Amino acid sequence: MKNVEAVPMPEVSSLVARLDGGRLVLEGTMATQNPAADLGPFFKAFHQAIVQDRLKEIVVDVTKLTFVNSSAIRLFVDWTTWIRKEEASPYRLAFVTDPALTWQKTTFPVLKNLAPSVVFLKPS
Amino acid sequence: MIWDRNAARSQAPGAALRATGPAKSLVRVACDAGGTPTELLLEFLSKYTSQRYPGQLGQRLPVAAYELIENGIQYGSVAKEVIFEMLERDGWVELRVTNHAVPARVSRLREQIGKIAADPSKAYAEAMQRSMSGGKPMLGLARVSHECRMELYLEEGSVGEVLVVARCRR
Amino acid sequence: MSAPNEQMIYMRFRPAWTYIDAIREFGRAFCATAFGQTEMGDRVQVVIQEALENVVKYSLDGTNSELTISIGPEPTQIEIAVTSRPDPAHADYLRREIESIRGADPEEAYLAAFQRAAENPEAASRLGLARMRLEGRVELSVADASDGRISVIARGSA
Repeated sequence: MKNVEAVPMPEVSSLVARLDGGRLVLEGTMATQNPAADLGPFFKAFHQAIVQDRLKEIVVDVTKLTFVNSSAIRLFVDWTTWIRKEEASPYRLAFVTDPALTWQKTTFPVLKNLAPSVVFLKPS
Repeated sequence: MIWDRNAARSQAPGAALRATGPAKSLVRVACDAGGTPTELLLEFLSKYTSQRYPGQLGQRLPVAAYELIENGIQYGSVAKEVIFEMLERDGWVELRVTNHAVPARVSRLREQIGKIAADPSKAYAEAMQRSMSGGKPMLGLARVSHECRMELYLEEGSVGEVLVVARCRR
Repeated sequence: MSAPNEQMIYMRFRPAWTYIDAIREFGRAFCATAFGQTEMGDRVQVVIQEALENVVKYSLDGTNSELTISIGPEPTQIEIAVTSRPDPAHADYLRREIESIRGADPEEAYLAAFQRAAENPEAASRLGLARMRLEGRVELSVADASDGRISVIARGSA
């Protein structure tokens, strides 16, 4: 976890991102005008750190991520693509979701369909 | 919407000066009386007006809107809808609240708006005094005129429809 | 729509990013209250967000946009319309994309949009319309409006 713990968390006012016991917790909203620029570098760096640490799974807790726009959903799509292309050290992406949040109920099953060997869902 | 503009008549001093040019509606919200919490609309308007009218006006308008809607709900029939509208016309910003009320309530409203329009400061001071003495303060509309510096007038349509308008220069 | 006791919101605004959060939040809260369902507010907010983002990103300079949310004529029916003047290329894209996903299974259309995004990492995400249909549970259409503008209309039921 050495490299993962060293990744600087993003500074977006509507979002709190933190590591908690090895899991990435995202709270708030991700609906900025350009999430690829605001958050893309963080997700990319986080992915690379997971690969360097040779982790088999990373848990992402989104239960308090109340709203995202589709440009931010794109970041999750990109993340699964990076993992699928990672031959040396692929890992599982396990999302802890809140089924009471409409956007999570609809979006994460589709993400799971897109990359069934990469994405795993853990309803809270 | 059953408002008959031709049937409307002015009730307050200064209403003859009212702008009559084409109106550009900016926000219009219609809901059953009591259906939409005023706080929701106020929160939205605070953000909207602070963007559209940077400075004092952007801060005064949500306060005026809040008081007008509260007044509309207080006077209105719970069976009818309350309509809030913000528009621009001939360099003025207008806030308009339409609802339905029984004649006795309309009379009291007309009397109150007449007093406020005649002397906003005096009406505000009297409302404050009533508030301190535990009476019904009727502070809201006085606040629109005195604190928010908006002209206030009342129009009546058919079948008990009442329109309270507050306006100021942009 | 002009049913009695119709509940509605009309807003005219400059297509600027700064308005989106406030408009989305108000629309969500208004509809959750009007329908007495938190889920209805959630559905409406995603339609508003995605539709307004399109407007902000692709409207021609100096043109106003309008949002109308109408409930009725049945109390379970909702219509959300966003009117703007997008650049012609985007207007063409909207018409084509909405036509291509109309009637398709919403989840399959959303998955297809995900696949397209995954295959084209450098391209724009283009997930919004399919997301509106699935998450908002609405059907989409495009109509010509006045002054050369177009309206994207989302209709659904509670």
